[in-house]
Amino acid sequence: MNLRLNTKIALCLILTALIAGCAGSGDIPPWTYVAANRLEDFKRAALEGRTAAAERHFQRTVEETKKSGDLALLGRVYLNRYAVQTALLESFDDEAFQKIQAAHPDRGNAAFLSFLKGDFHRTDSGLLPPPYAAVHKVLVEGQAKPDINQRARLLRLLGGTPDDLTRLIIAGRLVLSGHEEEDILQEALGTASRQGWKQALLAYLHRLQILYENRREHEKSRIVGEKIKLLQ
Amino acid sequence: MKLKVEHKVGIFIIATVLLALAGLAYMAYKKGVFQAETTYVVSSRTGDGLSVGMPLYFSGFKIGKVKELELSEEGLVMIRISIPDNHAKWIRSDSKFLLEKPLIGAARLTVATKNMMSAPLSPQTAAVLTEVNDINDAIQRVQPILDQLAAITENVAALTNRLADPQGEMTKILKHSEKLTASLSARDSLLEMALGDRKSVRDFHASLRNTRQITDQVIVLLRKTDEDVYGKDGVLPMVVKALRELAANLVKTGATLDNVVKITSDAADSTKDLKLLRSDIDSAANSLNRLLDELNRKMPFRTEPRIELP
Repeated sequence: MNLRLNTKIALCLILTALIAGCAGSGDIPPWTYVAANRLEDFKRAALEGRTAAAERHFQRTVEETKKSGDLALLGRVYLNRYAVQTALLESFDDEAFQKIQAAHPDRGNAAFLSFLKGDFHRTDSGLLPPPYAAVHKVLVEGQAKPDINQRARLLRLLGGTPDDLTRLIIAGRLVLSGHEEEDILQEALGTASRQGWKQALLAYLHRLQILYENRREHEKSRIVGEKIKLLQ
Repeated sequence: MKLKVEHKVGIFIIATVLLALAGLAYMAYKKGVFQAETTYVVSSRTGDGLSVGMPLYFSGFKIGKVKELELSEEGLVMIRISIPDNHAKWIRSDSKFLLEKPLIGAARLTVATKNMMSAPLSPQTAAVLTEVNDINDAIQRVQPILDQLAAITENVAALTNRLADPQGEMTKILKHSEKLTASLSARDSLLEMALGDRKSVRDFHASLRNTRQITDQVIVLLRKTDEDVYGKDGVLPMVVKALRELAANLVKTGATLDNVVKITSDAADSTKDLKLLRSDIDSAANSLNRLLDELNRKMPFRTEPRIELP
């Protein structure tokens, strides 16, 4: 078989890359996989309303992460939990995180917690992940100077967030911070519905029902109420 | 200047040897041969699973290796671990040296440090090696599952035996149910359904006819004398007969009710077994999860997953 020199070189390079790739993936500590997989299981279970399973998965994530001795990482695990609770429009107790933060302060983690708690003035947006930083900027600007386009800007940012959970967390924070608007609630409902996150779906439907009730749109409120009854 | 051939050969050999020595020196330098090292001493009850050259891991990274193994006067295995000085900072006074013996694969020597602020471990202090045996842990975890499986198998076997036994309760229940459904489907009237069989209906009709006859006879009796009451074709024997037939029908109805009660209690037993089965399925699902994690970890070309903010 006569191969050209270039082809031979290319084949050698591909083979070397394959061997290097195999060698590189050799020794991944088991706790990293277990912790990451259980955290994903926790998020899904919590958003679907399987509370007992979610708690079990979260405790396992904490146990596995503790094996690393990395307190910043452990803090991030707790922040994931608080973020899911925010997405479900629930309040959270951050005592466990504060203890970790006291022992091992992490500015990035602290900034994200401030955002989740709605404490926007204490949040350093430079330390937030990009989607949250963009929303934070609009919110702070709106507090400093009233902006009639704020609602449209927030809605555009929300719709442009590629990750569904991130979108739901931002929607949750906005609703909890008083931006209880139909467009935002509908965006969150669409996200929860597409992913099959029943617990989130019911939480936002309840909010939508209350919104219609406050606006005295009784027929719309009744229809949402019927929908909640059928889905529960 | 013109060199002789012998000189050229000599220069070539010297240059080759120098190059080889430089290469070896470079390799030794890269391998950390010239790097300053600290030797820590760790004691263990047994040297099982330990070997000279075995790497020491910290947070998944190789930071040192076992340099020497020797037996002390007290019969303890003294493990001398050499760690390059740039990695010695991870070894603190509260560091725990662990020998992990996983279910699959070779033993692994690791060190875990809880508090990085604690004082550095003195090389003169002998730390104690703790053994983490996944095989024993796995056996301890699997044992209850195996016990449950054995109990479930016994239950299933008992159930199967009861189902398969021609004289068993289930066969009886099925026979009774078959009879019951057959008799219910063959009913021609509400009266037949209430009384249980056609004979009873016929008897009931006969009783009615008899009652009619009794009525007639009562009229006759009223007309005739008292002796007819206790006579061969008198009223009293006929009434006694009708009551006996009614009592017989009631006994049959009672037997049917007993069968219904038995069916209900068997159904309750089955529910208990279903609960056991459910808990077993849960255990199996957890085991499967663990297996999937392990498979994920072993999968080539996979990158290390990281826990990030959502």
